[in-house]
Amino acid sequence: MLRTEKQKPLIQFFFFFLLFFILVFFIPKFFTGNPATILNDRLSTFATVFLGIFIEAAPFLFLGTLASGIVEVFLDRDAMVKIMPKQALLSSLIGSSLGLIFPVCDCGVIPLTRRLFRKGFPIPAGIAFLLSAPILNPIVIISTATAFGIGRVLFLRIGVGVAIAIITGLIFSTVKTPWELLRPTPWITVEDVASHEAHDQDTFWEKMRQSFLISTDEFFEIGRYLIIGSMIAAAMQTFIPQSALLNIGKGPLLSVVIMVALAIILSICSTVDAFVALGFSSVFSLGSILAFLVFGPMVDIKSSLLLIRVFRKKTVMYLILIPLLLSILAGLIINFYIPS
Amino acid sequence: MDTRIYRFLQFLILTGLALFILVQYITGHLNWYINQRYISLSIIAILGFLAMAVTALLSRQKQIHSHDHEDHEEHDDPEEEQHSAARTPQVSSIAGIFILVIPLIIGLAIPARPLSANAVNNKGISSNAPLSAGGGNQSASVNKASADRTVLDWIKIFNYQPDLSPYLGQTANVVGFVYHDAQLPAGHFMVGRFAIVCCVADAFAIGMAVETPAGVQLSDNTWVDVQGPVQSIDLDGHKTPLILASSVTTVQQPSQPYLFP
Repeated sequence: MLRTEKQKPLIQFFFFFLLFFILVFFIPKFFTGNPATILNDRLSTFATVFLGIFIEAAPFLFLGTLASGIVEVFLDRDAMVKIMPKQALLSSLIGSSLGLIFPVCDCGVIPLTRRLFRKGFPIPAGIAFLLSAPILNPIVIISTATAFGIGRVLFLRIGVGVAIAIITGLIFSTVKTPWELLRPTPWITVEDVASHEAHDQDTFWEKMRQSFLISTDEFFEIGRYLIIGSMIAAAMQTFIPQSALLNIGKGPLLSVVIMVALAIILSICSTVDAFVALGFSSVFSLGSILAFLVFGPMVDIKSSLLLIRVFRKKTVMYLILIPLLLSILAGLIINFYIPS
Repeated sequence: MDTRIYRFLQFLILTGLALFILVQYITGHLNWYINQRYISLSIIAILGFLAMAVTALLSRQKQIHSHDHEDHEEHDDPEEEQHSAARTPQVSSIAGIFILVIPLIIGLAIPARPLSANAVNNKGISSNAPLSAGGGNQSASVNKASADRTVLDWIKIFNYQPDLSPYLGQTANVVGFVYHDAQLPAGHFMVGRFAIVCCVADAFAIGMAVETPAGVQLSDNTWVDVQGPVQSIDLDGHKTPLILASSVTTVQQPSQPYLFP
């Protein structure tokens, strides 16, 4: 009973995707050219892009779930509750800077945040961590600095990203317990796989083994959403002509909207998106590049699928809409008030 | 599902995924999916998947093993039984597990191919594609001997050099795929390449126009080596390099089909 209910959303997604797939690959092309060849070409492009996103994201998802496993096994809940401040602003400040310690990207941060919530992490801190860790972390800082140099793009990216994370964290501070945010997914029992608080006497290697086992289960749980998300992203790339998107407009407002849309569709990892943004920096406004660099790590197709898995629908809606509006707003402010 | 079957399936799938990426690495096909600069990340994925696979496999033995342990038996056994009973339906359903096999199915069922002229239809091709404006990169393109420049080098020069006159008339020697662009006059084609920054998800096509010598008929997607002096034409209001081809030879697709800005 319980089981079928839990499977439902995933199956719905899958059918939705199948339908999408059929629409994308068959209908538009029946009217031009030989459908068999066209289908073949499209399929091959789709497969290449899908495998590209998957192969690129897989190591990061693995590292994220491993971090989550390690937190589960090694981190003591009581200590965590004691250390973390209750005050909302302070707690979201700390949460937003924790990416410096856990260098996870947008795929890895989602399972890790859920795990931290379970360990008694305060809500504002967790939400701020979720949104800011993919930006304020050593790997991303280095890649952004490599792409743009140590200058205003780097500082604006970190500043705006952290500010949005803290604001969103504060908005969520009215929520009392994480269970109001999280979907009642089977993850609670993932810990039962191996670790118990009672196992304090376990050796380091036994604990590592448990961490890996938790990471395996979590990889299987979250990996499905990564795969479906990558498939949707690849299908959209095969279907929506990017050149058309880029040609829509380059004005101060439209450019921001277009770069945000591009960040959502491309679904690339935050650790490397700075190099991609660099490519657009000659043609697009500073504000739009910033919006791309700030919003992309927080939300894109593949990560929203992961968010849907972990959080309740309403939470996901807020987690997408608040950063979306704030990123566009930040992009506009930059375009109008900072000379390029 | 029985926990042991579940663990064994996890083991099989993870090993399969690791082997799949490993095979792509060995055959060099990994280059078709991600920038060669990130290949070390894929090695992490291979090792990580194998480690998870082994953990999944061993966890079976551990459960059986812990049965025999005196000290664990007292309090742990009933607990463990209870957990495995509670876990089995919840950890994952069969359908859920098999979604993880999708990359393998797609990878094996659809023949691996790098992005080609076919993808240009969706991605578009341009002579002023988004390129990194980094000064260092650009001077490297300028300093190369004209015959060593790639399509990307030429495009960078045409986009970022204020004065093109020193470059006009230089002999180009570039390799790329043939793409017939609708905006080109008859008797012309584009010699194109895909440039990728991170992985194929961000690929964009760039191309130089080629004026074909009389009598040369090439179909889209043929890989060619084009030689000839470079001129400039206006396409869509942008200065685009045009090769007045003295020779167009069909070549094998290069092992690294993409260029990296």
